[in-house]
Amino acid sequence: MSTITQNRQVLKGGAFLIQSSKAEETFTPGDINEEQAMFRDSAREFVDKRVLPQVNEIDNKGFHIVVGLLEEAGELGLLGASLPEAYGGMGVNFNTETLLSEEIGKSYSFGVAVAAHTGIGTLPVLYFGTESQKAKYLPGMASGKLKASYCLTEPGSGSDALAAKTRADLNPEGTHYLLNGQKMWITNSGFADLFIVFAKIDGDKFTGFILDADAAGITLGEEEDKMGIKGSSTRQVFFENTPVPVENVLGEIGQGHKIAFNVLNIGRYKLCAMVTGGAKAACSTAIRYANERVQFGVPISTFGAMQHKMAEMASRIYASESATFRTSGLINEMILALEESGKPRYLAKLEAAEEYSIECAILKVFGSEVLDYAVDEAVQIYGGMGFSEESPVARAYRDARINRIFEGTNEINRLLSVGMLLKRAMKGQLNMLGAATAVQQELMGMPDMSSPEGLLGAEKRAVENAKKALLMVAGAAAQHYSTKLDKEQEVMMCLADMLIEVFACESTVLRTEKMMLERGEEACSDQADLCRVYLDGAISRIADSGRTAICAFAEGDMLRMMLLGLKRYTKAEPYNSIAARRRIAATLIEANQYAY
Amino acid sequence: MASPSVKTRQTLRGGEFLVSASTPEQTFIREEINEEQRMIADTVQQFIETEIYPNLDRIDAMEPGLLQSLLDKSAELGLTAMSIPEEYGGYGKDFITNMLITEMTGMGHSFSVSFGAHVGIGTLPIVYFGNEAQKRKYLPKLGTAEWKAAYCLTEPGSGSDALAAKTRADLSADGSHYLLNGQKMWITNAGFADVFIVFAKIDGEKFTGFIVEREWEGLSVGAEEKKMGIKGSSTRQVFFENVKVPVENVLGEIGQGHKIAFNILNVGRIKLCAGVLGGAKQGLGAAVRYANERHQFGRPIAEFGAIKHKLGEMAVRTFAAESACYRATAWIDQKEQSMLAEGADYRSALLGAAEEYAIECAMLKVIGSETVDYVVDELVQVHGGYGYSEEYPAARAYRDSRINRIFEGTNEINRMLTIDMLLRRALTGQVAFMPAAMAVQQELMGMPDLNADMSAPFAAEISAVSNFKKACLAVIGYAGQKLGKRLAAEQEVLLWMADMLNDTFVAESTLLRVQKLVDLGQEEADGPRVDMARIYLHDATERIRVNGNRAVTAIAEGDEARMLLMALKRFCKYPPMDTVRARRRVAAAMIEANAYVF
Repeated sequence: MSTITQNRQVLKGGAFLIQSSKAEETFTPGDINEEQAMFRDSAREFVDKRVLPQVNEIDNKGFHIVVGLLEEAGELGLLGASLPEAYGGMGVNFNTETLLSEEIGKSYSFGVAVAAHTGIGTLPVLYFGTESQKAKYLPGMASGKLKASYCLTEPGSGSDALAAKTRADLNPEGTHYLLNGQKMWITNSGFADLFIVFAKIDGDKFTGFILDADAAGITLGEEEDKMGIKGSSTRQVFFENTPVPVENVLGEIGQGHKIAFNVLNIGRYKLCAMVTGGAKAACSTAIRYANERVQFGVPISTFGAMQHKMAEMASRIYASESATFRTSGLINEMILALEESGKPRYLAKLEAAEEYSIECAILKVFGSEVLDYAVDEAVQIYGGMGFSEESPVARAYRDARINRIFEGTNEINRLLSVGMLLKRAMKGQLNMLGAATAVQQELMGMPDMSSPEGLLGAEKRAVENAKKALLMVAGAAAQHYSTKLDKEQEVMMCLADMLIEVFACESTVLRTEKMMLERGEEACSDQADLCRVYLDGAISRIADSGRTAICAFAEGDMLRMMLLGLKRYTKAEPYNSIAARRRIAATLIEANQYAY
Repeated sequence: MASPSVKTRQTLRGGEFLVSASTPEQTFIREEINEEQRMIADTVQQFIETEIYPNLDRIDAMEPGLLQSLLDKSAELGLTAMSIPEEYGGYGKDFITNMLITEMTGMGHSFSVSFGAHVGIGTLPIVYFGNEAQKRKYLPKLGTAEWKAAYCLTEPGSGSDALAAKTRADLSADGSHYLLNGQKMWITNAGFADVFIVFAKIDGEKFTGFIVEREWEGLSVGAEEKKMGIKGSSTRQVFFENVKVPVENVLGEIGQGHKIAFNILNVGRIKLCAGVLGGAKQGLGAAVRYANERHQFGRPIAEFGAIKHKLGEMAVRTFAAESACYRATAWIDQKEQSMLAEGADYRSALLGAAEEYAIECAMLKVIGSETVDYVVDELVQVHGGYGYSEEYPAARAYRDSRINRIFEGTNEINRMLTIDMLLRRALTGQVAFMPAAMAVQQELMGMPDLNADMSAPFAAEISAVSNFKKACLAVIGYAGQKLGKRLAAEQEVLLWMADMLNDTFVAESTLLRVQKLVDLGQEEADGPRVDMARIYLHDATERIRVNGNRAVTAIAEGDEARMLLMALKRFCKYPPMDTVRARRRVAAAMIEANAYVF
């Protein structure tokens, strides 16, 4: 890592809402080094040359192809990239993992198999395994010889993961636990060599286990018939007195929820990196088609309606990538800092991911919704061809839809993001109260009429104000509902929407500003457009969410006051977003792909 | 025939809703369908539930002959002959009845597409444009579905740009027939259709319709397309290689094929809206049932606010779109009836009516298809992981619905058409747009009336809707005046203006429906339907303002821009309301009934 980063004041998880960040200190896609770029390129080449040509076969129940490709990926080091060298990994840093995820995210079903294997399949062992468990399993997982699968969800327990019914009971000899139960939607289950299984010891102590796939009493259901990611193996897994040796208990007895929830933080983060890659691919595909397809005598990319779509896709993708890289940088920094203080890498990573669990939840929602927007517009740009499975966008559309559901539905993640934020505020980890009080104070006074100055001054002011809007609404909601706020899911959702947009907006501004600082304003006019177009839409969405929330709990004078405050903090100057989008589209059309 | 109440109702002309106020009494609402219409609708629903639902998987697997046999069964019930005149073996049912049938079949996934193509774009061109001999020859058999129909307009190189078709027709030396050569694409029912309505250019330039029979030499079809959804509906390419079409099978006038193509599309668009709303209601019912059944955290997920919000919003949009759909349906129905009463023939009556309301048809196509896409998306989300499984109904609904924003003119094309047609009618004075726009300008010069009496029922809502119209008039009027013909090149502006217009039309229609229901004593003054109208209005207010702002900022500068932005601020106002609790009340009514109940 560069030396500059080491003395930074690190922004804590969730603190973005109450502190400002410096562009110079923000990690952006422009900051990757040569080695990282090479690593990314090798992943890209693997996806382009080995995976994409076989996409049809893979989706046609070509699970054996997936198995072969996983092994190839293992040989290239793609599976063990983040694992310690001692266990056959490459020990790359977190930012490199981000790049890798973005590339793998362009590979449809295969990407899901990789993510399940390297993420929820491998990380529990890395984080919570004993030394001998790690020595036994990690090298095989790094090379792809051992393919992993993660068994948490059950027919009756999805969002409510802890309601699992699968149980584990110690045998009379005390050598094995016997697993009994049924798991559902298990990715990679058709070919996995080992399963990370969650079960309740004696029916109450929720615990993780590492289970070899050749243990007795395991049966697999049929492959699920899914809307998309058809090449990813998804089955039910049944356990009937399946013996698992006591030494294969993962982590502490009764502490399975720590494993389950902690690996989800990283999983959510990586999902965002992956879907950002997928969205870029869909955007590029759509641009190429718009350039090729001629109607009314001209390529349809010459039409304003199409340019609008292309530019809007690009602006959202730019925002989601900005937010992803910023978070990647934060997590990476914290890992490095913790390592310096003597923590082993894996524990540092676990702790860093937990620190930024709010950001991870935000990104999961934001990234998956940007992807869904992108694939939807890609289909629309393709017109009738978009509905045909002969076109790449139909698959992209079907495949994308799962991302708003798994790794915690977007609803659960929205609730979590705000829930965690409030919890940290209550515990005094985040001084939200102070910040909210300051906003209330400010509202009593006259608005700041000064014109904003400096690079992206107006945009920075807009972000600051959006934060104030959120602090005002969240503060008032917390006051009104007190500890029952989390029961008011609709209000929580509105707060989450505001939080997500604030984070996306700020990250986008920071990335753009950093680029301007490095290359000069002139060289970044497209990026400025992308940033402004994003903010133009986002600020009005923030106002909408704020209004809905306020109207749900405020009345009379309080209601009027707050609506005025909201107006003050979400005020936007008229902005010709059509002209800006056309400029963006011109670059995209010229490049014949997503170009930022 | 039409219900008597419809006949006495005063109707607006096409596009006129923007410049005229409507009353609840003038407005047809779906609740007013008559006994016969209700019975027919029930019959269709029963048919779908007993014949189609149990077979959805088999239909989507394209089991040979299955879909045709189901079309035959629907014909036994008379469903395929409803819009065919009685003298040709049909039932000549009124437009409202036909829309109800479309709504009910709309719940039938792939079947509905096949059915719709047969009775709509497949049969109607002959009903409307066929000569006596053609009608006698084809309609009775199309009515019984002994012959099944398909419509061949799109080509690989001509989709949105329909008139760029390359298929050509050349008269034989002896003048007895045309030779058809070319290739058509995305042809619904192509796999089994007996009769094809084909568009081709005579001598490579005169765009003309033809009736072509499958048996004729030189006609061949491609393989079934692999589609994302509506997999059970047959979609193939159709190839013509020197197909001999007798001159007597020219449909309509030579060189006037565009009239057939575009007129049929008007009816097709409003019917699409009815069909997708049937699908949306079905999807909403499924979402409610699942939310009641599925337990997480120790209770049904229907008890969670996040889920109630979804159910509530799905209902708001569905109910609102339906209000607009049937309001316009009755206009078309009544226009048709009055033209027939004035002695017009069947063809000009139906066509004239649909053409009159072409603006509304285009709006409804967009409104309906985006409503259903919202509903099926949330249907998947409510189902969580099960929503992604093809074993549950959500996945099929999600895949199937996506085509609706594409076919019958993409939603982008329909949005642009909406504004284009409106401005054309403004220019010819067909819609009194200019006086209305000028009145708005006048009003803007004065002070807003702050003392208006808002105590009457729905006063705030009525005022909001009337102001939405003023916002539309201000922006669209300015754009038309300022840019004139150049406006066509400002597609983004057209799209946003269309959004403003759509929201205005839906908001007004929903309000009128609810007012009428309250007047009729069919809804409490604070009932869930009233909530729905208010939620829609409340949320539309901000959408209209934002869309207006964007359009204005793109086309106006300086003082003009300031004026218009002020106007938007002034005209886009609705009192703050607690939409969270309102949606909960809407959701509660459905959760209680375990069904969509509006």
